[in-house]
Amino acid sequence: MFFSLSFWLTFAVAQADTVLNFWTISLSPTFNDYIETTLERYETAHPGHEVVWRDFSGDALYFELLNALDSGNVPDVVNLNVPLVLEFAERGTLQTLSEDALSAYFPRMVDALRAAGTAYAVPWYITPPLVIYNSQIFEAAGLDPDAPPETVAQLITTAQHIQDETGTYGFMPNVGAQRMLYRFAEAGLPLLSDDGFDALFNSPEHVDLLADYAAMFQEGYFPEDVLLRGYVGALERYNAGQLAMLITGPQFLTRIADTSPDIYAVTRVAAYPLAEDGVLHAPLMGLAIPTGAALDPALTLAQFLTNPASQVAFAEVATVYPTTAEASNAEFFQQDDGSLEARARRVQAGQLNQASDLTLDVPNSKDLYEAFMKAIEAAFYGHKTPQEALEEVVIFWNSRL
Amino acid sequence: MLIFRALYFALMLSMMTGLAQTPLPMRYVEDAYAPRTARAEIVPTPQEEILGESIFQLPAQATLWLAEPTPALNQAVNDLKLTVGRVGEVNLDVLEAPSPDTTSPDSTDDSIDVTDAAHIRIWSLNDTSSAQLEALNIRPVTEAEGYVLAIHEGGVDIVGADERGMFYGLMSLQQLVRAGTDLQTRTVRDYPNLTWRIAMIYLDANANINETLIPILAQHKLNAVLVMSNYLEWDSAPALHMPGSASKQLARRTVDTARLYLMEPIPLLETFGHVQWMFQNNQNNDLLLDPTAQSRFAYNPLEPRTYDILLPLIDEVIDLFNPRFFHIGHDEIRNVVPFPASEVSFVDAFVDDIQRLYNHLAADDIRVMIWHDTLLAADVAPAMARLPDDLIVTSWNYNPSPNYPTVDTLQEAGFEVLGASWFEPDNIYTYARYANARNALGMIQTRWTGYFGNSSLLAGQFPQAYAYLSAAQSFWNPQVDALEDAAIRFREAWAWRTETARSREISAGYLVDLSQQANRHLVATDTQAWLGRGPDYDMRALFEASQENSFRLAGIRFALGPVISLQGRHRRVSEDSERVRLILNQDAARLALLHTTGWSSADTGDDVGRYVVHYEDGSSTPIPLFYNVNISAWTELEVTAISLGQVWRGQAPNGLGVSADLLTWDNPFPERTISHIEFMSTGSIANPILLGLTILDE
Repeated sequence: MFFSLSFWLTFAVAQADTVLNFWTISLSPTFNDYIETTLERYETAHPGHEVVWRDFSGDALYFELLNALDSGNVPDVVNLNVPLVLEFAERGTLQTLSEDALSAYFPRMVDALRAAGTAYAVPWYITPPLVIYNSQIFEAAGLDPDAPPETVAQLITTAQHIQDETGTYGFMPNVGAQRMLYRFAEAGLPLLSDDGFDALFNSPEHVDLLADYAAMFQEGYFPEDVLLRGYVGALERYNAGQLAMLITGPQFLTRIADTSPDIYAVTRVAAYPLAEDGVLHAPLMGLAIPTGAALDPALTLAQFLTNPASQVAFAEVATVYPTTAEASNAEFFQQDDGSLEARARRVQAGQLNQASDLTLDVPNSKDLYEAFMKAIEAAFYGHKTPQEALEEVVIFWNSRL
Repeated sequence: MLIFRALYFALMLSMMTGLAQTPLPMRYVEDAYAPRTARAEIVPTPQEEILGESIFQLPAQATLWLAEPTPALNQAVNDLKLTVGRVGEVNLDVLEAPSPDTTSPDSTDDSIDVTDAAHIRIWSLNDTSSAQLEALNIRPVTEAEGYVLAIHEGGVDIVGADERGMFYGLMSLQQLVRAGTDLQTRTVRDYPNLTWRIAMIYLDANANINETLIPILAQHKLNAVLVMSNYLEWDSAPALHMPGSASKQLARRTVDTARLYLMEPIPLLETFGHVQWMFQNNQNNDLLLDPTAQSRFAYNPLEPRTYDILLPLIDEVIDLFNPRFFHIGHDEIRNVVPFPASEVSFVDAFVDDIQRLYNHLAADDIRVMIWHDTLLAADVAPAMARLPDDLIVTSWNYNPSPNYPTVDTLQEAGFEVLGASWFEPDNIYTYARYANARNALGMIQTRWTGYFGNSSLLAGQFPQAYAYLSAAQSFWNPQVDALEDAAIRFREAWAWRTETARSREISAGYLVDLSQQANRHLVATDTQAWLGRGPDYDMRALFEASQENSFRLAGIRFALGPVISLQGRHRRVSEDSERVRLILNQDAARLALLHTTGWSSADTGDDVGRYVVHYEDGSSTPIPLFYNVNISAWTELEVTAISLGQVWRGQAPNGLGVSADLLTWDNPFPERTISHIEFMSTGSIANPILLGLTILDE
């Protein structure tokens, strides 16, 4: 048995002029069919190419890639999230990609994959958040469930109103760790100077927004664990009917349907409230080509995986969104069969041009984010005023930018 | 003619290279280094300490008498013997004297007589009569683990309320002896406020570190270790083996060391959540709570085979530890993978899982500990009454606060509670005070350095190491102030334990003036730059401190002025020199290099540059500079590695905390004259900056 398997593997490899190693993060076994079918299509379209696919957990991929880079036996195309793209680019271990190669993708997503202005990965898929809300609680609060909040300011006042009227939490913002930075960006407020050397999040507008959130926390409009438990705590409460609005990815609609069908029955979805010039933070996955891999065939594979047909097919089996305008205009994202999921798709596809992964290209981001998190905690817990907290952390950031 | 040509050549060479060959200006001083006086103090701070006026000098041939020798007390005595030998060249003999029990309990003088020859006497309160105590002039401490340490002109008496009390009395004496064998007389009456003072440690392939760490923890009177045990080389499930796991033999050495130092070993095996360890190497995938989830975070308690796998592993841990307590985790269960819809609610599954593990452990008389957070979730809390009431709930909270209300909630529900802090010093202090005020069972000093993080504890995660000493202080005596200088104290304790500590004498040396090669200034003005962000961001506080006559860093004098910054990746220093030559032409026993980097590196161990010491005979030796190992950024306040000599902290004009690091280098070839030092940068983001240089004769 071993002999024959080895024989066929050897035979198969011998038939390929180009063998491409493709590594992904946590797609197997759930998406085996999609990946294998897509790679077969690629191989058919590119005679002489063979793709060897390996899937890892996020942690395992990180260490495997480090080992591969050390040994010089690198994958040709590797799936990395934005923090890892920036880290490996900083290490000088990823190949730069030309602007021509990236012209089809949403510019903001390409920008997320740049380090010091240079792009290091092809945007693959993104999972933007939306507002999932309980229409019953809206009605109980005397609000029109057909008129969900459209701006951050409305989100805050709506949440306060719901809490005041019903005693139920309005929403649980994602403001733990460095996420308040994303809330600033979504409100259209800048984070860094154009050259990246000055932190700008201590303006009166930033202070006001943080003060609004801190005041809501101190007045009991957010649960005590809002800084600690993020979306998991929010989902738990939403499923229990203890939260009016859940800000999270659309993949959780299925979870709500499974766990709390009664809540799902009264659930509606709405676009994420964004400022006109705001950027919607969403985790983005990229496809990078490590130093040492042959660029042309690797780029061909990365572009095939991200072409409209591949992206739409992926979105049909996974709750992910495409990174090109062409794919986002596909009928799949526009059709309305009356389901929450279809509504979510339409809403979110319409916001993709504003979506980006706001992970910052800053040196030693871990220390900077930790200092930022402490500043936000200090403001929330009242140890410092929002202005003091932001002034101090901007000084810290500036000393390191 | 030949002579003329030789002189001409020498003159030309001198003219061409004259500037470069001129040594840097330097000033000779007799006291370039003066040793700091060791602190004769007990940590944690005793409950009561009354100092006397006189001195008891431990003689060169000293004797010790120990009532009721036990393995732990023998070990403590042995440690004391080593200490007095190193500090004062004192030879401490342990007397084989008969126990006072052999004399009449009614006797006073006779019972003392048998130990009269000893300079140090360790008594057990259980076996010491009131008459004997009266003869010793000691008012005993009766609280568990308490002791009296009486240093009087005639010698030292320790009376322990129990074995731990005797042990801790010896630990306190050992701390005092480190500052010298001339002991100031005093009476210490001491006992802990919190019953359990627990330090969390890890088992992995580098668990041998525990054999050094545990004695330090015990010396500071922590009395238990919570041992993270997820990654063992399992006998019943060898397929789960992860590279980096601890062998049973290595794990047993940790357990044995803990027992030898009277630290209760408590295993922590994470169950229900945080169970990636059960799914290593693609094992047991059928037991995942959510097979579709990206994270292999939780097992499925509704699947009976879960326990077929888990319970034998728990039995292996029991065999290894023979524990009285067992922590089964149970935190953050739904934080990563929500509990899927099923016929059984999460609450029922949670309660049933705990009950099942509880029954298994209770059969061996082992008490169960769990973390608090899932238990107190809104939907679970009403089910608390369904859980065994002798569960010990460990309530973690890592933020400083005047109140920790979960302790009250859990106590009101009928549970015994241990608080759990992390490495934020204020958190340790405030939580210990609260736990004491609420009569909690004790405190756990948690450490989260990764499952395979023993190797990073001293290099990268050092704040979590010295936090143990902050915890020791506040857990033993929450009434007193939080411990200061925990990093320095831990570094000293570690050096002592690993015998790298060296005592040094006063030394003459040269304070080098770097001005000739300098390109930046500690004090930024409109015309001179520190790192180009203007006068709000500079190191003037260091310069101003150095103007004081008494200015010394780790006992070393420096002449500070303009400084030498090398090239780095940041645009503000990209034009600085890649290397600078410092001509010295001096003999040296040691070099003291005060330095920092302009920016921080994300990677501990990042190679940022080096000093290459060149000798007149043409040989050379490098001193590599690794980020956060022996150099770090001026904005870095946290000491992340034990090797990092952060010796100064201050503030920039805008309030930014700033620091400087000292690297002292022992010249391996002191007989060779140092011609020059090549100061070099690798061009990384963390560009090295030399702030001061002192050449020491000794």
